[in-house]
Amino acid sequence: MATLTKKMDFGGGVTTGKRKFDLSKVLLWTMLVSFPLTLIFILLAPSDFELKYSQRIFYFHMPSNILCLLSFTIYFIGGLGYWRTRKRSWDILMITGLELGVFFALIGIVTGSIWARYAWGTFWTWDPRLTTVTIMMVVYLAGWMLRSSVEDPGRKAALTAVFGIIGFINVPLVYFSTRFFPAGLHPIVFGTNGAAVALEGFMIVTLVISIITFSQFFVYLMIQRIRLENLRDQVAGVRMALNEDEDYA
Amino acid sequence: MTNNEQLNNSPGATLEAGRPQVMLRARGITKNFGHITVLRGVNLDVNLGERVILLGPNGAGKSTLLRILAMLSRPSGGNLEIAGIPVEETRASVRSLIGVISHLTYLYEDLTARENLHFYGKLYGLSGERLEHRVEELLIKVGLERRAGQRVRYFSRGMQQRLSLARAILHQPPLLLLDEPDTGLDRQAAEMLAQVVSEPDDQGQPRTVLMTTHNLERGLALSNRVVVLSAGKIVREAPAQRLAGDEVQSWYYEAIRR
Amino acid sequence: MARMAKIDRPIETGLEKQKEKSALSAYFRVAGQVFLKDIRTELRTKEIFSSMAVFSLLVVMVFVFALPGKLKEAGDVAPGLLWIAFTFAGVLGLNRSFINEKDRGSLEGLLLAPAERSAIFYGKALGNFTFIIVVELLLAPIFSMLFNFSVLRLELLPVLLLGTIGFAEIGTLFAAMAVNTRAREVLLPVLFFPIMLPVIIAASQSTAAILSNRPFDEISSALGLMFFFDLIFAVVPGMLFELVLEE
Repeated sequence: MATLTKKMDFGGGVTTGKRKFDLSKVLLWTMLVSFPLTLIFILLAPSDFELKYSQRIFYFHMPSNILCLLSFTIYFIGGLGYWRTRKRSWDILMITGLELGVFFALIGIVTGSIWARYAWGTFWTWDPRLTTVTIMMVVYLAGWMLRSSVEDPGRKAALTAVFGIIGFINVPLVYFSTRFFPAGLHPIVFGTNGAAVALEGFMIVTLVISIITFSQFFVYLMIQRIRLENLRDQVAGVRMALNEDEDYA
Repeated sequence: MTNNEQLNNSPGATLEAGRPQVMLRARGITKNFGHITVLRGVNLDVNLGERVILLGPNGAGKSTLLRILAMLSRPSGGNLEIAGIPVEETRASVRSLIGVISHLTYLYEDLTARENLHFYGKLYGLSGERLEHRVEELLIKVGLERRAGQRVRYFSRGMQQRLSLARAILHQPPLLLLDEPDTGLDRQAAEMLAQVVSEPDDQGQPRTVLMTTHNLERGLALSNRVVVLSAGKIVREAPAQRLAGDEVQSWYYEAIRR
Repeated sequence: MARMAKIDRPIETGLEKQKEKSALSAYFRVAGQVFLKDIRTELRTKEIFSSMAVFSLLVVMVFVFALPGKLKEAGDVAPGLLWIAFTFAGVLGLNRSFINEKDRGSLEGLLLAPAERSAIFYGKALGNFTFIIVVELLLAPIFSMLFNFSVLRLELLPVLLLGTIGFAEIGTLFAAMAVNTRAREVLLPVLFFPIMLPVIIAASQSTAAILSNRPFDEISSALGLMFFFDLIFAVVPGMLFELVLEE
């Protein structure tokens, strides 16, 4: 009993023995199951009639593109939040969207060009979606550069927010504008075996499982990234307090 | 201590006979981002006609506070009133009550002295004869009437500072904020600064001044109250008259070391 | 504190007299004065104009030397090259517009003006638009001469206007952002190009269509896109400008 009260006094709460719920740990465990499961499904999925084995990269490609778009949305929401409130927490959300966006855009583009090599016979084509994702990645990278060339943390957040908002509004405009490319620029006319892949039942199940797994991974990375930034803030705060002591002690 | 007592005990209130008119009232001004804190709750009252000097070590938040008061920067928390007007409601128009002098001159090098003053005057809504008259009057006042047609690019540093002084009081602001104004001032410009700060404005009202400076001696000569800021908080306040010579130095250094 | 406020006599500021009505006039006054000041400075120094003009001329000459064989089929490449020259020249001019404000801290002087900050943005954007369009109008005949392929068509004017408005809007906002960073000259094109992509594509495609006498139907959607772009980014940067400039 004495130890219990002691715990309550110093712990500042009634956390007697009960662990705090930690989503990232839960995700870590579920991913331990879902990653191998996804791989098995991908291997078991039937091969595409024309594309044969290479079609399987689609199960990586599509989830990462969805998550790339999601990251941009997160960056945008963080930007809007920062614009309204000037709160550091929104800034942290922006960083998360920005960095995860670069990561998933890169995966999307690399898997996309490998797929394109087998489906259309070329690594690169200025197809509207590919162009849009590429521009998104360039915008992410520019945002990153912008961040790293500003010292003042408040201004850093402000400029990142402005660029994110403008960049997000711009995405549909970029997508629309790529349609003005004259047809001659496309190295291969696609449509029959490219964009419209006929997915059969098992393939759809595999795709859904893959998307779920990728999303778990995404949320896990997001949580860890936010934690990292919060820790950095704490370190900065402690460092500031220490410096004050040095200067005026 | 309530606000009321605090105010009555403050030297500004005793300087002016009768009721004080509060020119600037800051309550609980904070500035922070994440865990980095620059200002942690600054309460400051400056009465009409008071000349307050803000002292403190580097990084104490002097400039940040002054920039917040000039509405160049937004506080993270707290309330600010200028001439009894809450700043949050009318940010844009309240700016016309403030004149700012900093170590930067804010002048356009490729415009002439006269054009610079005309430009800034028009920003503040002066126009026509009133503007003409005011500009010429100020050019004479700062001793630049003969060179008014020359581009500022060819002016010496001291001349630019004098012109900058004219720019700051062009719209007759009742409140002057000075952010280290004596950086690079020559003797003539320094005298002019002292004159502008200590004389009443054109309506005969005494000027209200809040300044930061590295030049302790000159700062004390110009002010009638000293406020010391350290680590984002006001740590001491005293009327300038009580402080003289070496006593100030030791008092000052002791205060910022607290 | 409320009691204190009652005791205080109000200070005569004259602010009460000029309220709501004058806020709008102050807005236009500040925007107009910033614009006129930029024009006046530029007429005197010709700094932005000359660097833009010389640079765009050099860009065109580099094209001529780099693509000597293509001069015969200039119709295919000219529209694209023209817009590349405009874009690069535009970035150069936009970069100068805020660096000049930063040198003596005059940007801060503008921020002290008693009006909403977006007024500064619109004044600056109007100035930048003027500089860029003048350079473009001068460059077009020189371009036609060097390539021996005329791009001087009256129908191109709407394309030029729509494209340049977009340049000025986004460019002015980003120039104000870049000037507060360490790599200010380098950063502007990095921010500017990806966002301007829709305008550059739409403008060069519709220029190509006009120069090869294709029907208007083909360019109407491109013009529509540019119009939409200009419209959105006429409003959004104004809303965000305060955030760009404050600390």
